[in-house]
Amino acid sequence: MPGTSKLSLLVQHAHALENHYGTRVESYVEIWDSDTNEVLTRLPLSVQSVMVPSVFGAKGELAWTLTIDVFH
Amino acid sequence: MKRMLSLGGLLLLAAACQHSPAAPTSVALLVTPDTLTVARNAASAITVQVQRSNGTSEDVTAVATWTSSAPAVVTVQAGMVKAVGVGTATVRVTYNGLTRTVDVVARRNTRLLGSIVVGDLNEQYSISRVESYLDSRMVYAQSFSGVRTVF
Repeated sequence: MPGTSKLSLLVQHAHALENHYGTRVESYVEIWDSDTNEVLTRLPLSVQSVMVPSVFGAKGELAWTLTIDVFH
Repeated sequence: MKRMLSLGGLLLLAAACQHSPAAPTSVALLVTPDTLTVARNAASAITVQVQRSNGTSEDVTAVATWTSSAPAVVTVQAGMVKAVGVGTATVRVTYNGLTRTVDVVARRNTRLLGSIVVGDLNEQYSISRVESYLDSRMVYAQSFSGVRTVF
């Protein structure tokens, strides 16, 4: 659907780590023409990270939202 | 006698003309909407009303004359606008010598695809599961270490 899109991630981790989770530089978004099935543009995603709080136990869950501010 | 009758007829005619209301004239066209965006291969309706000098109005969508400045982008028939290409066009409607225009944008149908690679920044893969949602719709859920989500 055309408009600004939001991508949400829910990450479950198996170990307690005081660390940053993040998206890698190879992440990207493409806008496709649905009728002709061709790629109109390919956009890199800026790296976004979240800190694992130290209160997290051995297993935990992170949720964050990447706002893909692409009008298409 | 004949001349008197003719004179009387003329007087009656003049009196009739003096008291009959003038036919209302068309004074303005009202189009709804006045701008329009349509996805390619979709259609949307424009309506037009004529406003008359006696204060009345009438829907003349079906009988007005409609034209498109770019028929390869937008076609129009009886107010029904169809996007057959991508771009902009001006739809013109004419009725009783009055004209209004509507700017129309014909846009692509698009979708997002992509790939997001998620991990911890020390390359210590410790993610056991990731779920990703695009506009609240789940597009990926998988359990393994070193995670790439494709949507």
